[in-house]
Amino acid sequence: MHQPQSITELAELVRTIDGPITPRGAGLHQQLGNSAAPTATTIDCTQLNHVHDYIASDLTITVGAGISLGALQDLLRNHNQWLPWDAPQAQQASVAGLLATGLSGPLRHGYGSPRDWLLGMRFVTGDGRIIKSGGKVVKNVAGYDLHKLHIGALGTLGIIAEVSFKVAPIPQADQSLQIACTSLAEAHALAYALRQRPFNPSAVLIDAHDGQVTLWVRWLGVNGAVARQLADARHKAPQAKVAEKGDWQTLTQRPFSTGHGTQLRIGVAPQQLPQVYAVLMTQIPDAHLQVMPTVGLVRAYCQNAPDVAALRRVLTPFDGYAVVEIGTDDNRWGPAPAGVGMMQALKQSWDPAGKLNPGRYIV
Amino acid sequence: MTTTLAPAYQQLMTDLSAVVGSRYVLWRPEELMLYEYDGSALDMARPDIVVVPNSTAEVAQVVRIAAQAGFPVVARGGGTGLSGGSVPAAGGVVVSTSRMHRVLAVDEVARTARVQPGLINTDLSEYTLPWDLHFAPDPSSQKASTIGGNSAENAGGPHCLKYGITTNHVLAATVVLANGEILELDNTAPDRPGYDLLGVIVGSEGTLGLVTELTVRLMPNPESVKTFLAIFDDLDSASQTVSAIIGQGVIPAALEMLEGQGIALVEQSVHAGYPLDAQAVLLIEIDGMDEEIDDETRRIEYICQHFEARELRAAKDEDQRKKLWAGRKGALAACARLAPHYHIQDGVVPRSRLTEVLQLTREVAKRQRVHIVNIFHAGDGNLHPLLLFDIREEGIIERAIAASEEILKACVDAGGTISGEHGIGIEKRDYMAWLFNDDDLWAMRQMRACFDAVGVMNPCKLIPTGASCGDIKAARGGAKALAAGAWI
Repeated sequence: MHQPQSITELAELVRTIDGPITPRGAGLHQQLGNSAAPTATTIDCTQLNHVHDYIASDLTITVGAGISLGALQDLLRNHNQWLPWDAPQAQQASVAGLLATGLSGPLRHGYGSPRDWLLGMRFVTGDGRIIKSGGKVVKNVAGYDLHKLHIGALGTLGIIAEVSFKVAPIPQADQSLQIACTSLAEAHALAYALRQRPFNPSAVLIDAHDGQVTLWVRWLGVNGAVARQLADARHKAPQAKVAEKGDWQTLTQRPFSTGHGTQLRIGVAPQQLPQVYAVLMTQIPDAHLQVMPTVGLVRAYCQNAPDVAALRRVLTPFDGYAVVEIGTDDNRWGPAPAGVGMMQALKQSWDPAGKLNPGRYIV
Repeated sequence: MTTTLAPAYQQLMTDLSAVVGSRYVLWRPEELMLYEYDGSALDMARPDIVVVPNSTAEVAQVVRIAAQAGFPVVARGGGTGLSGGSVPAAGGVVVSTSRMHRVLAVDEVARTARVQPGLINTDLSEYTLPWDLHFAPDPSSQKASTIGGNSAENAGGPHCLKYGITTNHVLAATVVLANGEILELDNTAPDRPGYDLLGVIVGSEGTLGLVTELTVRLMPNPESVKTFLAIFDDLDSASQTVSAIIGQGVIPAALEMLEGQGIALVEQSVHAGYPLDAQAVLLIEIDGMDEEIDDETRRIEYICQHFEARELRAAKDEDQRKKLWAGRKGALAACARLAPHYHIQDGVVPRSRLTEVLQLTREVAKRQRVHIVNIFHAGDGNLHPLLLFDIREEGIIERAIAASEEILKACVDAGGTISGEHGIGIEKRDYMAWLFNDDDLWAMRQMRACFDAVGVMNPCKLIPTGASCGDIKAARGGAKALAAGAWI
């Protein structure tokens, strides 16, 4: 295993290593994707963890992408700032790894995904070139947004080495409720009722297992605005109980934690969800579900291996997809996406020898 | 008809007419002239032919026919671009989206709209008013620019400070590729496997494909909106106020600055109550829930007082608010009072470097003897130095371009960029090398080739191409400029 200390060293390594390469951050989400080539050389990027540029008054930061998200948040917190990104295992996982795996959490409802916060990147291609795209300022349309291509690409297009983000001030108030519901449909309807104009929560998650359905809602912002929304929620759901920050940590730790045989990621346009719940109840009735009802993202944790092919068939009319994030099913990604020919051409041109994580992704 | 046309051209016209109808194929010189420029006016080039299709299927056929005949294809929406994006630099077929201007569907639950690319930006928000929803990107050209054009240029606008630029609001697109294939890119189901091609399509300035339908995000209209005019006797205090507002964690919906001569010019044009003798004014808008308005008002009042604003005035009603914005959005036209021709830049600097770069623009203006007015998106550091001149003056074009380049270079040196929202197009293509090295540009070219190996779609834009489009450089030397009718 190699541990480059700089982006130049990383590029040099990629050039000299003959054969497949597995880029690695904290190594917490390596189950994701098809198996790595048995002969692959691992490049551990966690030493690329320097803060290159942090201008707190500009609300922007540039860091080595091997830094853990936890360390990055600690740094920002000193200036009363944060990156509203509550990805699974956010404390230890590296920023590069979380971008490459495309992971995010329930804050996505209120703040968007990391794609919306990422300003620029430096990455190393399969032939060892260091490529820059985007920049460090909050607004920039110079050149193609190549950095977006790496989000969720499992390091197959390049190794993410340095990233620039815009960041946000930490809000005054941070309050959460947990609301017991009788069904997914009820929880879903309540989630939408709580975001009726002018209200808007910052995070929404439905957690459903063993017949228990709970809607978790978090409000961040100005004290008075949070208080009014909390009162509205208590009025609409008198059974609501106060939830703590730690509860969110537990909830966002569930993906990629041990104890479930299969973990699926299911995505549909959010307006399709009410119908998709019925499908999930039939296809994977015993699964533990975590749903972002306004985003359209579902994680299903199953003890027994589900029939993924059948699930994909019934999701097709909803234009949905299912990815096997952890499990034994050979077809982890499902059918080829639109434009796969162009994706393959791009992979070929940036990584002509096919060094970067070959075979792990859909491309 | 006495005009004799070359057989290949005649054939192209016949083929295109068979697809869209002869009424929608324009070829007479007097018709083509209308399509040879955009709002930037520095670069002009005449198309060989203009077609006005009415559907994705028609666009796909048009592209296939044009590509087979060896003609480039350039999409055109409202023609309000400020970097030459819709100017057919290498000639070819211009595809006007003006007939594809419909809202196809609104989903109130998902808060999205499916639209055609020729839809005018403000028409969408007017359409969705009954649902209390709006389309957030609001370039100053929004009364004339199209959603397709906004998407191609990744347009911004005053309110993108809080709500993000166009790329944050496009969820799906139907794209006609250079070979006439139709590609459906759909991010409405989140995190779908595959590379984020939509992420590179938005902002690609029409160089990867021609977008014929889009699904865009709609935002709920805020409970309250409050608009302030902060008046300053010196520029430094105004820019320090901007830095302090952002630095202390207030993200207004918009934070705009007008400085120097621009204030009086705008006031004479719209009579919105901008003080004629101020050195700088800030237009600050906050929106959200009532409690947020109260909190942010307090903090803005405190900061403005601290930096010795002469006055902080809140718009009393919607009418006054609209007037203040009319002044800002009509600023470019208003400046025609000072000089008949203009050149506008779009550099971005880190917000903490605003003061020094604004000082520099004043020095440059003096040294190069051009009027420079700054009317810009201060909150995100996006400068719009507006160079005003009269091209009849000897040597003025050279001096204006030198001034403009010096300012842009200073933005880059301060850690910023050469374009925040107008796009690279033809105008700033040669400056890309200030930001990106050969490898970076190689990666962009390779990516572009995966969509369009031959260079059918809007060639000669965005990426420096060397000698093959040398004719564009010559066109630039001509520096023709308009007097009014564009927006920044």
